[in-house]
Amino acid sequence: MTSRRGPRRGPEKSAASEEPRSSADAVRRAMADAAARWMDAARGVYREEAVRAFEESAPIVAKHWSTLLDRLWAMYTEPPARKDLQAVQRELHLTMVTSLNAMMKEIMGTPSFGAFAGESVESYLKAKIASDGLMEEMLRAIRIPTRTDIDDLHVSLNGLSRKVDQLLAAKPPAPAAPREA
Amino acid sequence: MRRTAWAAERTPRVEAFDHVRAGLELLANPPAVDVGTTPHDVVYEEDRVRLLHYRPVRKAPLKPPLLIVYALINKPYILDLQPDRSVVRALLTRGVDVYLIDWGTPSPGDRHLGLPEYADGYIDRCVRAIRERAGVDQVSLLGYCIGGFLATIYAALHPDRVRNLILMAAPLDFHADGGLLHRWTGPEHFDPDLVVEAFGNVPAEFLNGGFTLLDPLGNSYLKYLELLDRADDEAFVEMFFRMEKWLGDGVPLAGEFYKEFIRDGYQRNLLIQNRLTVGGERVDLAKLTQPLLVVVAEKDHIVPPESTRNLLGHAKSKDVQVLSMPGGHIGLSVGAESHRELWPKVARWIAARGVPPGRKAKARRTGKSGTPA
Repeated sequence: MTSRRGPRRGPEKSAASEEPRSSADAVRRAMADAAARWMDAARGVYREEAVRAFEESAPIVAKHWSTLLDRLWAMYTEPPARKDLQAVQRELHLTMVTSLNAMMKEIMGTPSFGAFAGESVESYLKAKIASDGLMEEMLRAIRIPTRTDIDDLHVSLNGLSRKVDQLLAAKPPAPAAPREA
Repeated sequence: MRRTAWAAERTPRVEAFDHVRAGLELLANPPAVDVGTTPHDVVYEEDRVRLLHYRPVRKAPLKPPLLIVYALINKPYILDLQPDRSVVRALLTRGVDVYLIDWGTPSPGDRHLGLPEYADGYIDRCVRAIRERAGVDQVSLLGYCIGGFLATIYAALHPDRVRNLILMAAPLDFHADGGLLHRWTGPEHFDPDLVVEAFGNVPAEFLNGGFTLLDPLGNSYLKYLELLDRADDEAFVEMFFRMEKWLGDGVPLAGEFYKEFIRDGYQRNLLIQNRLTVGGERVDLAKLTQPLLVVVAEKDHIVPPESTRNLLGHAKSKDVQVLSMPGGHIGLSVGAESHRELWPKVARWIAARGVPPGRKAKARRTGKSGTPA
């Protein structure tokens, strides 16, 4: 598989780049490809991407950490009007959680996160497609209708019912039946 | 003796513990809640789509009727969540004649439904049903979220059938600054075709996963923390579980529509550039000449306010008003401040642009799309 962010520096030829011979083969290849991605990551193949992600995230982390420290310092130096220790603990906790939330939101807006999320979703979807294909093949072998068969039936039924509606709508009103003498 | 005295003592720590326990008990045994209780009738049905007509509370409701085009994801009862936070009720009590499109849950066979079916087909047939029922030529249209995207397209394709257009947190300029969804769905790393190939219709859980990530701790940990804090506030608890019910009651999105919405919306941003075509017809925003009310939420992290506001640079309406609220996307429908400030203003805006009872709301212009059905 070729990453859409650029040419991969991992294995020369990906297992999934050739046409799979069967659904089982497709599942095996999808799994192997996902595993290869993780292995590549562990080996440091995506070093450039990792450096870019770090470069994008580090200033965000530093900014939020600095804001958090300022807020904590303000809490510490504020005259201790409150004697309620639990209220102070609570404020401290909320301050930290909201800072973390703001930081996560900002990091998730970086291009590196978008690319990472997109590739993770893509790996999952490809594995799902391959595994669904294998399941369908097995079901077909024992003559059980598959999801695709039922979906196709739904589509045909919907089309027919729409056609009937259109015909009914286009039909001119029936002339009044002659009355019997 | 000493132990009894200790147990009877309400130290802050004991109180805090009781709070947490009460909150956890609530989460384990959530109270039953009613939603969508405003009386209504189903006046038109087609496939999964139902057109609801809310029973007017005034003898002579305002004309033209208002058609609410709801989003295709989640259920529309967010607009009628509880009696004192119901958009529908707020409008009814001020004399507006309210209809609403409930899109229903698409079946696997509906996966080929796309923009032409939703933005033109279903909406147009609902508008026809209302015109025939109410004896009017035009309706007012209110679109919320994706419903606002659909309502904008419909109003641009059939300007003579829409007397007033109200857009509420509608994604129109998908590249407006601040949108995380736009960044995550970039064509360089997101392929909507693959999503549809894997799922058919796109499941609500997949969509909700993305929405949850927009405010990761706010949509998870922090909201439960607030419940633990306010477990003895009955009104808050009821509202909390109504919202939980709604959030967990998502509906899948038809596969074809999802592909078009991501590709032509988030990735290519065609609508705001007047380059979107629906059923072979180009959607020209300059055809929007009717009175236009834009409602946005300043802290909307799903649809940034600029995404809706940027329409003003393209629509040719002369009568334009923008109402901006301080809350978030959902707060527009259920927030206390929205019900105090926003909805009375919206109802007044609609009333001021209606026709007196007894007179027919006639089309202001004639043209192809204004031809009666």
